[in-house]
Amino acid sequence: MSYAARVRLTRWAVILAAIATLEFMPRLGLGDAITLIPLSEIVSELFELLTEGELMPHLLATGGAFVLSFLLAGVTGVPLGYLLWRYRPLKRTLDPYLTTYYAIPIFAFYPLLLAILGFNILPIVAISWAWAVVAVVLNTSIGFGEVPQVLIKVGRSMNLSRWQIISRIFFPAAVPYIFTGLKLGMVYSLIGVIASEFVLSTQGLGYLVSYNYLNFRTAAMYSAMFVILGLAILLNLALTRIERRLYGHV
Amino acid sequence: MQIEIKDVHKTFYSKDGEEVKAVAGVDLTVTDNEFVSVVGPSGCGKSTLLEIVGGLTGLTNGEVLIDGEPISGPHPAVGLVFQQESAFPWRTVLENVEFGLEMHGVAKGERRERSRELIELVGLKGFEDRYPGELSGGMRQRVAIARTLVMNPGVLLMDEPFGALDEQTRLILGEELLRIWSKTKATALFITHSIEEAALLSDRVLVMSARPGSIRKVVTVHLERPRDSSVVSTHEFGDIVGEIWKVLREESMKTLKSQGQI
Repeated sequence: MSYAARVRLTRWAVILAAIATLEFMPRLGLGDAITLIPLSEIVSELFELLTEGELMPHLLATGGAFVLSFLLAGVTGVPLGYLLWRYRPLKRTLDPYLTTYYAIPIFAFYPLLLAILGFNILPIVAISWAWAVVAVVLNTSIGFGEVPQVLIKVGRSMNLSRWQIISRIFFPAAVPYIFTGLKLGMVYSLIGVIASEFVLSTQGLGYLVSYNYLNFRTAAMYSAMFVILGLAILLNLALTRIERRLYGHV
Repeated sequence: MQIEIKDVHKTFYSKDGEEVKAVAGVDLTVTDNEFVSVVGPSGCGKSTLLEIVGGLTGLTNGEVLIDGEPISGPHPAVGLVFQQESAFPWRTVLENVEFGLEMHGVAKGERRERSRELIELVGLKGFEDRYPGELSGGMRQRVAIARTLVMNPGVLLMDEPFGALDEQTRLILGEELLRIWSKTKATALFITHSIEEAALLSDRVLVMSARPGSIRKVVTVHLERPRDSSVVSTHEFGDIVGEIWKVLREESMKTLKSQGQI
Protein backbone atom coordinates (compact mmCIF):
# COMPACT_ATOMS: atom_id res chain seq x y z
CA MET A 1 0.00 0.00 0.00
CA SER A 2 1.33 3.43 -0.86
CA TYR A 3 2.13 5.98 1.81
CA ALA A 4 -0.74 8.24 0.71
CA ALA A 5 -3.20 5.35 0.85
CA ARG A 6 -2.04 4.42 4.35
CA VAL A 7 -2.52 8.01 5.47
CA ARG A 8 -6.01 8.08 4.01
CA LEU A 9 -6.89 4.78 5.65
CA THR A 10 -5.64 6.01 9.01
CA ARG A 11 -7.76 9.14 8.69
CA TRP A 12 -10.88 7.10 8.13
CA ALA A 13 -9.89 4.80 10.98
CA VAL A 14 -9.71 7.80 13.33
CA ILE A 15 -13.25 8.85 12.36
CA LEU A 16 -14.57 5.32 12.75
CA ALA A 17 -12.88 4.95 16.11
CA ALA A 18 -14.44 8.22 17.27
CA ILE A 19 -17.87 7.09 16.14
CA ALA A 20 -17.44 3.74 17.81
CA THR A 21 -16.31 5.37 21.03
CA LEU A 22 -19.28 7.73 21.04
CA GLU A 23 -21.63 4.84 20.41
CA PHE A 24 -20.31 2.26 22.84
CA MET A 25 -18.97 4.26 25.75
CA PRO A 26 -22.44 5.23 27.02
CA ARG A 27 -23.79 1.75 26.25
CA LEU A 28 -21.03 0.20 28.37
CA GLY A 29 -21.94 2.55 31.19
CA LEU A 30 -18.77 4.66 30.90
CA GLY A 31 -19.80 8.25 31.58
CA ASP A 32 -23.11 9.24 33.10
CA ALA A 33 -26.30 8.71 31.16
CA ILE A 34 -27.42 12.35 31.18
CA THR A 35 -24.35 13.91 29.61
CA LEU A 36 -23.22 11.10 27.34
CA ILE A 37 -25.66 9.28 25.09
CA PRO A 38 -25.08 6.82 22.24
CA LEU A 39 -24.42 8.30 18.85
CA SER A 40 -27.29 6.41 17.23
CA GLU A 41 -29.76 8.16 19.53
CA ILE A 42 -28.26 11.53 18.62
CA VAL A 43 -28.53 10.75 14.95
CA SER A 44 -32.16 9.69 15.16
CA GLU A 45 -32.93 12.83 17.18
CA LEU A 46 -31.13 14.95 14.60
CA PHE A 47 -33.10 13.29 11.83
CA GLU A 48 -36.34 14.00 13.67
CA LEU A 49 -35.45 17.65 14.26
CA LEU A 50 -34.58 18.02 10.61
CA THR A 51 -37.75 16.40 9.28
CA GLU A 52 -40.03 18.20 11.71
CA GLY A 53 -38.55 21.49 10.56
CA GLU A 54 -37.66 22.50 14.09
CA LEU A 55 -34.05 23.21 13.10
CA MET A 56 -34.80 25.37 10.11
CA PRO A 57 -35.49 28.73 11.82
CA HIS A 58 -32.35 28.30 13.92
CA LEU A 59 -30.25 27.39 10.92
CA LEU A 60 -31.60 30.44 9.09
CA ALA A 61 -30.94 32.73 12.03
CA THR A 62 -27.36 31.55 12.40
CA GLY A 63 -26.82 31.56 8.64
CA GLY A 64 -28.21 35.08 8.28
CA ALA A 65 -26.11 36.54 11.06
CA PHE A 66 -23.04 34.73 9.77
CA VAL A 67 -23.44 35.85 6.15
CA LEU A 68 -24.09 39.40 7.24
CA SER A 69 -21.14 39.64 9.59
CA PHE A 70 -18.77 37.93 7.17
CA LEU A 71 -19.80 40.14 4.25
CA LEU A 72 -19.37 43.21 6.43
CA ALA A 73 -15.96 42.00 7.54
CA GLY A 74 -14.91 41.53 3.91
CA VAL A 75 -16.36 44.78 2.62
CA THR A 76 -14.81 46.83 5.40
CA GLY A 77 -11.68 44.75 6.04
CA VAL A 78 -10.15 44.79 2.56
CA PRO A 79 -10.30 48.60 2.10
CA LEU A 80 -9.10 49.11 5.67
CA GLY A 81 -6.21 46.74 4.99
CA TYR A 82 -5.37 48.75 1.91
CA LEU A 83 -5.39 52.02 3.86
CA LEU A 84 -3.27 50.47 6.56
CA TRP A 85 -0.69 49.44 3.99
CA ARG A 86 -0.88 52.72 2.08
CA TYR A 87 -0.49 55.11 4.99
CA ARG A 88 2.54 54.20 7.01
CA PRO A 89 1.81 56.51 9.96
CA LEU A 90 -1.58 54.84 10.33
CA LYS A 91 0.02 51.44 10.47
CA ARG A 92 2.66 52.57 12.93
CA THR A 93 0.03 54.12 15.16
CA LEU A 94 -2.31 51.15 15.11
CA ASP A 95 0.30 48.38 15.21
CA PRO A 96 0.29 47.76 18.97
CA TYR A 97 -3.51 47.62 19.00
CA LEU A 98 -3.68 45.26 16.07
CA THR A 99 -1.06 42.85 17.35
CA THR A 100 -2.72 42.57 20.76
CA TYR A 101 -6.22 42.59 19.33
CA TYR A 102 -6.85 38.86 19.51
CA ALA A 103 -5.71 38.80 23.12
CA ILE A 104 -8.88 40.71 24.04
CA PRO A 105 -11.90 38.54 24.75
CA ILE A 106 -14.30 40.66 22.77
CA PHE A 107 -17.27 38.56 23.90
CA ALA A 108 -16.94 40.15 27.31
CA PHE A 109 -18.34 43.35 25.84
CA TYR A 110 -21.73 41.87 25.11
CA PRO A 111 -23.65 43.76 27.82
CA LEU A 112 -22.39 47.02 26.36
CA LEU A 113 -23.44 46.01 22.86
CA LEU A 114 -26.84 44.93 24.11
CA ALA A 115 -27.31 48.30 25.74
CA ILE A 116 -26.29 50.16 22.62
CA LEU A 117 -27.82 48.02 19.89
CA GLY A 118 -30.76 46.36 21.60
CA PHE A 119 -31.77 42.74 21.95
CA ASN A 120 -31.79 41.69 18.31
CA ILE A 121 -29.48 40.42 15.58
CA LEU A 122 -27.29 43.55 15.66
CA PRO A 123 -25.12 42.81 18.69
CA ILE A 124 -24.42 39.35 17.29
CA VAL A 125 -23.41 40.75 13.93
CA ALA A 126 -21.34 43.43 15.64
CA ILE A 127 -19.39 40.96 17.76
CA SER A 128 -18.81 38.56 14.88
CA TRP A 129 -17.77 41.37 12.58
CA ALA A 130 -15.37 42.75 15.16
CA TRP A 131 -13.96 39.28 15.72
CA ALA A 132 -13.47 38.65 11.99
CA VAL A 133 -12.55 42.00 10.51
CA VAL A 134 -9.10 42.36 12.03
CA ALA A 135 -7.93 39.09 10.47
CA VAL A 136 -9.05 40.41 7.10
CA VAL A 137 -7.40 43.80 7.67
CA LEU A 138 -4.08 42.32 8.79
CA ASN A 139 -3.77 39.81 5.98
CA THR A 140 -4.82 42.32 3.35
CA SER A 141 -2.23 44.84 4.47
CA ILE A 142 0.44 42.13 4.60
CA GLY A 143 -0.62 41.00 1.13
CA PHE A 144 -0.20 44.45 -0.39
CA GLY A 145 3.16 44.74 1.30
CA GLU A 146 4.29 41.44 -0.20
CA VAL A 147 3.62 42.39 -3.81
CA PRO A 148 7.05 42.22 -5.49
CA GLN A 149 8.20 45.66 -6.67
CA VAL A 150 9.35 44.18 -9.96
CA LEU A 151 5.74 43.47 -10.97
CA ILE A 152 4.94 47.15 -10.55
CA LYS A 153 8.01 48.01 -12.61
CA VAL A 154 6.71 45.78 -15.39
CA GLY A 155 3.51 47.82 -15.42
CA ARG A 156 5.35 51.13 -15.34
CA SER A 157 7.72 50.12 -18.12
CA MET A 158 4.67 49.33 -20.24
CA ASN A 159 3.34 52.84 -19.68
CA LEU A 160 0.23 51.63 -17.87
CA SER A 161 -1.98 54.08 -16.03
CA ARG A 162 -1.97 54.16 -12.25
CA TRP A 163 -5.37 52.55 -12.17
CA GLN A 164 -4.31 49.76 -14.54
CA ILE A 165 -1.31 49.00 -12.35
CA ILE A 166 -3.47 48.86 -9.22
CA SER A 167 -6.33 46.84 -10.67
CA ARG A 168 -4.47 44.53 -13.06
CA ILE A 169 -1.18 43.93 -11.27
CA PHE A 170 -1.21 45.07 -7.70
CA PHE A 171 -4.55 43.67 -6.65
CA PRO A 172 -4.31 40.24 -8.32
CA ALA A 173 -0.80 39.84 -6.90
CA ALA A 174 -2.16 40.38 -3.39
CA VAL A 175 -5.16 38.07 -3.81
CA PRO A 176 -3.68 34.95 -2.20
CA TYR A 177 -3.05 36.91 1.01
CA ILE A 178 -6.42 38.63 0.92
CA PHE A 179 -8.03 35.25 0.48
CA THR A 180 -6.20 33.89 3.51
CA GLY A 181 -7.64 36.83 5.46
CA LEU A 182 -11.13 36.17 4.17
CA LYS A 183 -10.82 32.49 5.04
CA LEU A 184 -9.85 33.30 8.61
CA GLY A 185 -12.54 35.96 8.71
CA MET A 186 -15.14 33.45 7.65
CA VAL A 187 -14.20 31.01 10.39
CA TYR A 188 -14.04 33.79 12.97
CA SER A 189 -17.46 35.08 11.90
CA LEU A 190 -18.99 31.66 12.42
CA ILE A 191 -17.36 31.28 15.82
CA GLY A 192 -18.51 34.80 16.69
CA VAL A 193 -22.11 34.11 15.74
CA ILE A 194 -22.40 30.75 17.51
CA ALA A 195 -20.73 31.99 20.67
CA SER A 196 -22.85 35.15 20.76
CA GLU A 197 -26.05 33.19 20.34
CA PHE A 198 -25.37 31.42 23.63
CA VAL A 199 -26.19 34.60 25.47
CA LEU A 200 -27.49 37.14 22.99
CA SER A 201 -30.31 35.35 21.27
CA THR A 202 -33.46 33.30 21.45
CA GLN A 203 -32.71 31.77 18.08
CA GLY A 204 -29.87 30.15 16.24
CA LEU A 205 -27.75 27.04 16.60
CA GLY A 206 -25.70 28.45 19.46
CA TYR A 207 -28.88 29.26 21.34
CA LEU A 208 -30.17 25.77 20.60
CA VAL A 209 -27.13 24.14 22.16
CA SER A 210 -27.40 26.31 25.24
CA TYR A 211 -31.17 25.97 25.57
CA ASN A 212 -31.15 22.19 25.22
CA TYR A 213 -28.26 21.90 27.62
CA LEU A 214 -30.10 23.90 30.27
CA ASN A 215 -33.22 21.78 29.79
CA PHE A 216 -31.49 18.40 29.94
CA ARG A 217 -32.42 17.64 26.33
CA THR A 218 -29.08 15.98 25.74
CA ALA A 219 -29.83 14.36 22.40
CA ALA A 220 -31.14 17.62 20.98
CA MET A 221 -28.11 19.46 22.31
CA TYR A 222 -25.76 17.06 20.58
CA SER A 223 -27.81 17.32 17.40
CA ALA A 224 -27.31 21.06 17.35
CA MET A 225 -23.62 20.58 17.94
CA PHE A 226 -23.42 18.20 15.03
CA VAL A 227 -25.21 20.65 12.77
CA ILE A 228 -22.66 23.32 13.73
CA LEU A 229 -19.84 20.88 13.05
CA GLY A 230 -21.36 20.00 9.67
CA LEU A 231 -21.72 23.67 8.80
CA ALA A 232 -18.09 24.37 9.64
CA ILE A 233 -16.89 21.41 7.57
CA LEU A 234 -19.05 22.44 4.60
CA LEU A 235 -17.75 26.00 4.71
CA ASN A 236 -14.21 24.80 4.86
CA LEU A 237 -14.71 22.51 1.89
CA ALA A 238 -16.29 25.31 -0.13
CA LEU A 239 -13.39 27.62 0.68
CA THR A 240 -10.79 25.08 -0.26
CA ARG A 241 -12.56 24.53 -3.54
CA ILE A 242 -12.73 28.26 -4.33
CA GLU A 243 -9.11 28.66 -3.34
CA ARG A 244 -8.00 25.90 -5.72
CA ARG A 245 -10.05 27.42 -8.49
CA LEU A 246 -8.58 30.86 -7.92
CA TYR A 247 -4.91 30.12 -7.61
CA GLY A 248 -4.27 26.41 -7.30
CA HIS A 249 -1.52 26.84 -9.87
CA VAL A 250 0.40 29.55 -8.03
CA MET B 1 16.75 52.80 -32.69
CA GLN B 2 19.58 54.64 -31.06
CA ILE B 3 20.24 55.20 -27.36
CA GLU B 4 22.35 58.15 -26.30
CA ILE B 5 23.38 58.44 -22.70
CA LYS B 6 24.98 61.80 -22.08
CA ASP B 7 26.97 62.52 -18.94
CA VAL B 8 24.39 60.82 -16.72
CA HIS B 9 24.72 61.23 -12.97
CA LYS B 10 22.55 59.77 -10.26
CA THR B 11 22.79 60.62 -6.60
CA PHE B 12 20.60 59.04 -3.93
CA TYR B 13 20.05 60.10 -0.40
CA SER B 14 20.03 57.23 2.05
CA LYS B 15 17.67 57.16 5.04
CA ASP B 16 20.17 58.90 7.28
CA GLY B 17 20.48 61.68 4.71
CA GLU B 18 23.81 60.42 3.47
CA GLU B 19 24.68 61.20 -0.13
CA VAL B 20 25.25 58.10 -2.27
CA LYS B 21 26.63 58.57 -5.76
CA ALA B 22 25.39 55.61 -7.80
CA VAL B 23 26.27 56.75 -11.31
CA ALA B 24 28.85 59.43 -12.02
CA GLY B 25 29.14 60.66 -15.56
CA VAL B 26 28.30 57.85 -17.95
CA ASP B 27 28.56 58.63 -21.66
CA LEU B 28 27.47 55.98 -24.13
CA THR B 29 25.86 55.71 -27.52
CA VAL B 30 24.31 52.42 -28.55
CA THR B 31 23.67 52.46 -32.28
CA ASP B 32 20.76 50.94 -34.14
CA ASN B 33 20.55 47.15 -33.83
CA GLU B 34 23.68 46.99 -31.71
CA PHE B 35 24.02 44.66 -28.72
CA VAL B 36 25.91 46.25 -25.86
CA SER B 37 26.56 44.66 -22.49
CA VAL B 38 27.54 46.32 -19.26
CA VAL B 39 29.56 44.43 -16.67
CA GLY B 40 30.77 45.83 -13.40
CA PRO B 41 31.39 44.98 -9.77
CA SER B 42 28.28 44.50 -7.68
CA GLY B 43 26.75 47.75 -6.50
CA CYS B 44 28.46 49.77 -9.23
CA GLY B 45 25.23 51.33 -10.41
CA LYS B 46 24.71 49.29 -13.58
CA SER B 47 21.12 48.40 -12.72
CA THR B 48 20.45 52.02 -11.82
CA LEU B 49 21.79 53.06 -15.22
CA LEU B 50 19.41 50.64 -16.93
CA GLU B 51 16.44 51.90 -14.92
CA ILE B 52 17.33 55.45 -15.90
CA VAL B 53 17.35 54.53 -19.59
CA GLY B 54 14.07 52.66 -19.02
CA GLY B 55 12.55 55.81 -17.53
CA LEU B 56 11.78 54.12 -14.21
CA THR B 57 14.26 56.20 -12.23
CA GLY B 58 14.97 59.88 -12.65
CA LEU B 59 18.50 61.18 -13.13
CA THR B 60 20.30 63.88 -11.20
CA ASN B 61 22.25 65.27 -14.12
CA GLY B 62 22.70 64.68 -17.83
CA GLU B 63 20.20 63.26 -20.29
CA VAL B 64 19.11 60.15 -22.12
CA LEU B 65 17.90 60.34 -25.72
CA ILE B 66 16.05 57.67 -27.64
CA ASP B 67 16.34 58.33 -31.37
CA GLY B 68 17.33 61.90 -30.57
CA GLU B 69 14.38 62.58 -28.24
CA PRO B 70 15.14 63.19 -24.56
CA ILE B 71 13.10 60.87 -22.32
CA SER B 72 11.11 61.97 -19.30
CA GLY B 73 9.65 58.60 -18.28
CA PRO B 74 9.15 55.14 -19.77
CA HIS B 75 9.47 55.43 -23.54
CA PRO B 76 6.81 53.46 -25.45
CA ALA B 77 9.41 51.88 -27.74
CA VAL B 78 11.59 50.68 -24.86
CA GLY B 79 11.04 47.21 -23.41
CA LEU B 80 12.47 45.98 -20.12
CA VAL B 81 13.28 42.52 -18.83
CA PHE B 82 14.16 42.20 -15.16
CA GLN B 83 16.31 39.83 -13.16
CA GLN B 84 13.68 39.03 -10.57
CA GLU B 85 10.76 36.75 -11.24
CA SER B 86 8.29 38.92 -13.07
CA ALA B 87 5.90 36.58 -14.87
CA PHE B 88 2.44 37.10 -13.35
CA PRO B 89 1.65 33.90 -11.42
CA TRP B 90 -2.12 34.38 -11.82
CA ARG B 91 -1.96 34.44 -15.61
CA THR B 92 -1.20 31.59 -18.00
CA VAL B 93 1.78 31.85 -20.34
CA LEU B 94 -0.45 33.13 -23.14
CA GLU B 95 -2.21 35.60 -20.84
CA ASN B 96 1.15 36.80 -19.57
CA VAL B 97 2.52 37.39 -23.03
CA GLU B 98 -0.53 39.25 -24.26
CA PHE B 99 -0.74 41.39 -21.12
CA GLY B 100 0.78 44.57 -22.55
CA LEU B 101 -1.26 44.36 -25.74
CA GLU B 102 -4.41 43.78 -23.73
CA MET B 103 -3.69 46.82 -21.54
CA HIS B 104 -3.17 48.95 -24.64
CA GLY B 105 -6.49 47.91 -26.12
CA VAL B 106 -5.32 45.59 -28.91
CA ALA B 107 -8.23 43.42 -30.09
CA LYS B 108 -8.33 39.89 -28.77
CA GLY B 109 -7.82 38.10 -32.09
CA GLU B 110 -4.80 40.16 -33.01
CA ARG B 111 -3.13 40.00 -29.63
CA ARG B 112 -3.64 36.24 -29.44
CA GLU B 113 -2.01 35.80 -32.81
CA ARG B 114 0.97 38.00 -32.01
CA SER B 115 1.40 36.38 -28.61
CA ARG B 116 1.38 32.89 -30.10
CA GLU B 117 4.11 33.91 -32.55
CA LEU B 118 6.27 35.21 -29.72
CA ILE B 119 5.62 32.13 -27.59
CA GLU B 120 6.84 30.02 -30.46
CA LEU B 121 9.87 32.27 -30.96
CA VAL B 122 10.98 31.87 -27.34
CA GLY B 123 10.43 28.13 -27.53
CA LEU B 124 7.39 27.79 -25.29
CA LYS B 125 5.00 26.35 -27.85
CA GLY B 126 2.75 23.83 -26.15
CA PHE B 127 2.95 25.65 -22.80
CA GLU B 128 0.46 28.41 -23.64
CA ASP B 129 -2.06 27.33 -21.03
CA ARG B 130 0.39 26.57 -18.25
CA TYR B 131 0.87 28.83 -15.27
CA PRO B 132 4.33 30.20 -14.37
CA GLY B 133 4.29 28.12 -11.18
CA GLU B 134 4.34 25.00 -13.33
CA LEU B 135 7.43 26.07 -15.28
CA SER B 136 11.16 26.12 -14.54
CA GLY B 137 12.99 29.36 -13.74
CA GLY B 138 14.47 29.52 -17.24
CA MET B 139 11.07 29.05 -18.85
CA ARG B 140 9.52 31.73 -16.66
CA GLN B 141 12.21 34.13 -17.82
CA ARG B 142 11.34 33.28 -21.42
CA VAL B 143 7.75 34.21 -20.62
CA ALA B 144 8.95 37.59 -19.36
CA ILE B 145 11.06 38.07 -22.49
CA ALA B 146 8.16 37.19 -24.78
CA ARG B 147 5.87 39.53 -22.84
CA THR B 148 8.32 42.36 -23.50
CA LEU B 149 9.04 41.46 -27.13
CA VAL B 150 5.39 41.19 -28.09
CA MET B 151 5.22 44.96 -27.69
CA ASN B 152 7.71 45.20 -30.55
CA PRO B 153 10.27 47.33 -28.72
CA GLY B 154 12.88 49.19 -30.75
CA VAL B 155 15.09 49.15 -27.66
CA LEU B 156 15.42 46.15 -25.40
CA LEU B 157 16.85 46.70 -21.92
CA MET B 158 17.74 43.59 -19.92
CA ASP B 159 18.87 43.60 -16.31
CA GLU B 160 20.63 40.27 -15.68
CA PRO B 161 17.67 38.31 -17.05
CA PHE B 162 19.46 34.99 -16.47
CA GLY B 163 21.21 36.09 -13.30
CA ALA B 164 19.31 33.67 -11.09
CA LEU B 165 20.20 30.67 -13.26
CA ASP B 166 23.26 28.43 -13.23
CA GLU B 167 26.14 29.02 -15.67
CA GLN B 168 25.26 26.25 -18.16
CA THR B 169 21.63 27.28 -18.39
CA ARG B 170 22.71 30.87 -18.67
CA LEU B 171 24.97 30.24 -21.67
CA ILE B 172 22.38 28.14 -23.44
CA LEU B 173 19.64 30.69 -22.83
CA GLY B 174 22.08 33.37 -23.99
CA GLU B 175 22.45 31.52 -27.26
CA GLU B 176 18.65 31.36 -27.51
CA LEU B 177 18.48 35.06 -26.76
CA LEU B 178 20.82 35.77 -29.67
CA ARG B 179 18.60 33.82 -32.02
CA ILE B 180 15.49 35.67 -30.79
CA TRP B 181 17.19 39.06 -30.82
CA SER B 182 18.43 38.59 -34.40
CA LYS B 183 14.78 38.35 -35.46
CA THR B 184 13.64 41.45 -33.59
CA LYS B 185 16.26 43.94 -34.82
CA ALA B 186 16.00 45.74 -31.50
CA THR B 187 18.85 47.74 -30.04
CA ALA B 188 19.91 45.89 -26.92
CA LEU B 189 21.46 47.06 -23.67
CA PHE B 190 22.24 44.13 -21.42
CA ILE B 191 23.39 44.13 -17.80
CA THR B 192 25.20 41.11 -16.43
CA HIS B 193 27.83 40.09 -13.94
CA SER B 194 28.95 37.18 -16.11
CA ILE B 195 31.91 38.03 -18.34
CA GLU B 196 31.33 34.96 -20.56
CA GLU B 197 27.72 35.88 -21.08
CA ALA B 198 28.63 39.45 -22.00
CA ALA B 199 31.30 38.33 -24.48
CA LEU B 200 29.03 35.71 -26.03
CA LEU B 201 26.16 38.10 -26.65
CA SER B 202 27.62 41.49 -27.40
CA ASP B 203 29.09 43.67 -30.07
CA ARG B 204 30.67 45.78 -27.36
CA VAL B 205 31.20 45.13 -23.66
CA LEU B 206 31.49 48.06 -21.27
CA VAL B 207 33.28 47.60 -18.00
CA MET B 208 32.03 49.88 -15.27
CA SER B 209 34.11 51.16 -12.39
CA ALA B 210 33.42 50.60 -8.74
CA ARG B 211 30.84 52.95 -7.23
CA PRO B 212 30.23 55.68 -8.25
CA GLY B 213 29.82 53.98 -11.60
CA SER B 214 31.42 55.32 -14.73
CA ILE B 215 32.75 53.53 -17.79
CA ARG B 216 36.29 52.24 -17.33
CA LYS B 217 36.78 50.37 -20.58
CA VAL B 218 35.03 49.43 -23.80
CA VAL B 219 35.89 46.06 -25.32
CA THR B 220 34.76 45.42 -28.88
CA VAL B 221 33.85 41.81 -29.63
CA HIS B 222 34.81 40.91 -33.19
CA LEU B 223 33.37 37.42 -33.15
CA GLU B 224 31.34 36.58 -36.21
CA ARG B 225 27.54 36.37 -36.03
CA PRO B 226 25.45 34.28 -35.89
CA ARG B 227 27.22 32.91 -32.82
CA ASP B 228 26.42 30.04 -30.55
CA SER B 229 27.84 29.01 -27.20
CA SER B 230 30.56 26.91 -28.86
CA VAL B 231 32.63 30.09 -29.38
CA VAL B 232 33.34 29.91 -25.67
CA SER B 233 36.15 27.44 -26.39
CA THR B 234 37.94 29.57 -29.03
CA HIS B 235 41.15 31.54 -28.50
CA GLU B 236 39.60 34.83 -29.52
CA PHE B 237 36.89 34.37 -26.93
CA GLY B 238 39.50 33.64 -24.27
CA ASP B 239 41.38 36.81 -25.18
CA ILE B 240 38.24 38.93 -24.93
CA VAL B 241 37.33 37.45 -21.56
CA GLY B 242 40.88 38.07 -20.38
CA GLU B 243 40.77 41.68 -21.51
CA ILE B 244 37.50 42.31 -19.71
CA TRP B 245 38.62 40.50 -16.58
CA LYS B 246 41.83 42.54 -16.28
CA VAL B 247 39.84 45.74 -15.79
CA LEU B 248 36.95 44.17 -13.92
CA ARG B 249 39.34 42.53 -11.47
CA GLU B 250 40.81 45.90 -10.47
CA GLU B 251 37.40 47.43 -10.01
CA SER B 252 36.05 44.47 -8.07
CA MET B 253 39.08 44.62 -5.76
CA LYS B 254 38.33 48.28 -5.09
CA THR B 255 34.75 47.44 -4.25
CA LEU B 256 35.71 44.58 -1.95
CA LYS B 257 38.35 46.68 -0.21
CA SER B 258 35.93 49.53 0.36
CA GLN B 259 33.54 47.04 1.93
CA GLY B 260 36.33 45.64 4.09
CA GLN B 261 35.92 42.17 2.62
CA ILE B 262 39.60 41.80 1.67
